[in-house]
Amino acid sequence: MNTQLLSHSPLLVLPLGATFLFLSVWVVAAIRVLTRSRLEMETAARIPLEDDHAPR
Amino acid sequence: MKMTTHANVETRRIVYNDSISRWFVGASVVWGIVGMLVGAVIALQLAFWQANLPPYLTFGRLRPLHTNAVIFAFVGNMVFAGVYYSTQRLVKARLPSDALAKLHFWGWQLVIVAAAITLPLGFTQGKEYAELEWPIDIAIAIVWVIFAINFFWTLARRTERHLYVAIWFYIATIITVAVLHVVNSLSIPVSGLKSYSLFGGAKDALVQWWYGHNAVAFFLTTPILGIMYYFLPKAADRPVYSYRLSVIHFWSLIFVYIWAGPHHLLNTALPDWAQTLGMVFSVMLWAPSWGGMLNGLLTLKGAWGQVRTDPVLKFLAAAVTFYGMATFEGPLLSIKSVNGLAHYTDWIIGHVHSGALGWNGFMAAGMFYWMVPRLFGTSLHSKRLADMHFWVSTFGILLYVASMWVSGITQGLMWRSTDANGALLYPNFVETLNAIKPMYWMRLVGGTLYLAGMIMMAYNLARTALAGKPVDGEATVVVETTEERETPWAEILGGKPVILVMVVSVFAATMAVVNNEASLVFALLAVVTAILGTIALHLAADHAKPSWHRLLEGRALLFTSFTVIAVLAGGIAELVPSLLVTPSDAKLTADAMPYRPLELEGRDIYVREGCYTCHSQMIRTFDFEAKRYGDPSTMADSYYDHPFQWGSKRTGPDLAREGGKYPNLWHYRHLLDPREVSPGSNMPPFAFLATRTVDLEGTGRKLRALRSVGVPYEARQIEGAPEDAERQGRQIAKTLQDDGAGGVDPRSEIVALVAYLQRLGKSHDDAPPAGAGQASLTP
Repeated sequence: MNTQLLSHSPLLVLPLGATFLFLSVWVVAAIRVLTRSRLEMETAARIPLEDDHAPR
Repeated sequence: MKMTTHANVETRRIVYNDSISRWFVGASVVWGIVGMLVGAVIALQLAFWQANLPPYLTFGRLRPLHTNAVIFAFVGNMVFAGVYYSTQRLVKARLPSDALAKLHFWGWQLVIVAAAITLPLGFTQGKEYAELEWPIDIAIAIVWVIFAINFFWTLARRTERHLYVAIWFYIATIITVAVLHVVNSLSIPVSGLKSYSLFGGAKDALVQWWYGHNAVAFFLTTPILGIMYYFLPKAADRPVYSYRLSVIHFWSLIFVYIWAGPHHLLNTALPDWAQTLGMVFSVMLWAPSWGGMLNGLLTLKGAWGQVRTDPVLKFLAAAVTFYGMATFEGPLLSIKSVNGLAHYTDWIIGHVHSGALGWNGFMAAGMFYWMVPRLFGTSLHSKRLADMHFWVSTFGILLYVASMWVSGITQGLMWRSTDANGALLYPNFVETLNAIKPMYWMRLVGGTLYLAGMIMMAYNLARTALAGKPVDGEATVVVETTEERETPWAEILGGKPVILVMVVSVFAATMAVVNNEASLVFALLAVVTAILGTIALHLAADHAKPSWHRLLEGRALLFTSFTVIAVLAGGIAELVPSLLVTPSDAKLTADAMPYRPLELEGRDIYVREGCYTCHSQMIRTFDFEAKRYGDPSTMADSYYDHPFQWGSKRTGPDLAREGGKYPNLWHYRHLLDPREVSPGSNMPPFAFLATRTVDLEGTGRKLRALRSVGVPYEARQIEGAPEDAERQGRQIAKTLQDDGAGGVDPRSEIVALVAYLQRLGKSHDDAPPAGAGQASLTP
């Protein structure tokens, strides 16, 4: 299959490899992030709301 | 991340440097009005050619001024204002150097002024959004480094350990813009304000659109997303909807975006694999983009009542909505078949402006209406005026975008229409232009309405500022003063997630180089390892300790390194193979010769006048294009072109095979008065070229510079350049005089430009003789 795919240009190896790398990083990152504790996330999300509150 | 070992803490009062944000806000508003005014002028010039005022105020010279002013002056200054304001607060540290901040501000304004002077004067590198000549490019790099030093120094002095997601987007912006700017600006100077791109032809095209698209990504999107993640929660007074989503959004977006550049070069002479790559990643980009949009809109959950009454939220909510529209349309336009219809038409212009006016412009307005009252310790002068700004501008955008959709699709369909015999239904290009002229007027109305909204905002903000006095924000922070142990680099770099990714990558890389059967095994191994590894990581995680990513978020330098890797992975894999293309790869024939000296001088005039802003030099691989313009362009056609001039828009026809189509006299008369030979054309007249002479003293230097970047000029050609140019000029002038043009100066710029136009699509040996064609003068 890959011989056929690469017959147009062997350079296709690069984008294919990089795409696969991206997908594997993405899947790992996504699952890791989705399994992090709610408290950890909420603390980080509130950072912008902790600074000064001048009048509008 | 630092671990506190003792409970010793102290309280500190921080006074932020907000004056720098005040300056940048002011500059952004002023330059925004200037840039959009120039935009309105060039919109008028397209509808009403008489609005061109040669030589300095023609469409070709003003269009780069408009794009540079809006991107780098309006949005650039807005980004700096937002980054400085939010970063100090998010990391709870004052900017370490007020002097660097001032240098940054004045340096950037100097760059803008230099652009405003040099572009109308015709000093340009001829690459879209990267037109500024080499000394200004160097100045931009220096100012950017100053910005980076001040930003990263602030992070180093922070009292908030965690880097909030907005900061991640700022880091990605600073790193990536630096890489893009440096690579795309590589050029060989010829004189103080003239240079040739280091890359040529398809290589230059790929580098340019890798840069051009990522200027949209990392100058007009990632910093604005950072600003969204700070100002939207602030304005809505609630945290971002999903911090989890923001993490995924960030990494996905920066990794995918960097690959998408080739979608600007679909169906061209660019290698097919690079085109497919650009298309696939552009479609993938839809997911992270919409992840960010939904995260922004869902942050407003429960605050929609406020959106109705608060102009700040109104602008921010509309901006995020426009972001969603533009990032849906972008992947759509990147599909090869859709792109075949839309590319080179006004549809692209409409797409760009829904992003620029809706996303960037409205985020800027929302941020300014939020910041300025706080920066001056008062309330907004008039909410009603801000509301009016919102509605006038929204109507303006809709008029603008709708007219460009209609115009683009109309013209795209007309270009490809054929009759039952396969002949073009509209063979005269001007017919397709005249069909969309009403849309040009409607676009002008839409753009003018948007400009009116900007003026309302400027007045409102000025009155607000005058009613108050400059106030710098303050915060009290609790700082740990004990000895702290930082998590070692090795602990993060050797973290289990990194090891897992490395193992999966090795399997993936092996898959690509082994035979069919083995590749299936390795693919399976990679997938199984990824899945099982992730599950194992989750099960083995000690939830009492901070996660790996959490550790990373506390280490700015390491975080930046990972960002660089994510960004460079795409750039290297995409650019390097194309940059290694050799003349034989490009199927360059032995008789292919570079431009003769006069043709090169003519080409420089073509670049100077910004002809590429309306004419492409790339016949795409479509039958209807071949029927109109000739055989599809090849890599060989533009191999020696530094810079490439493939263009991105066809307000006029493609010129890739223009050479020999018409006699010299046709081009001469067309340049003097386009409507004489092409009734209905909206091209500006270039009669002034007939009275200006080419300085042949510097021609040899130009050839020498081009030889240094690989154009095969021989020493004798360089030494004899002035004589050869004069000889060719005399030949062309003679044919013009013989055909009844009257007295023509053989050294005039118009003769050089005719020489260049007649050379397009011709190798040297079969270039048309000076008396090229005695065909009819009608187009």
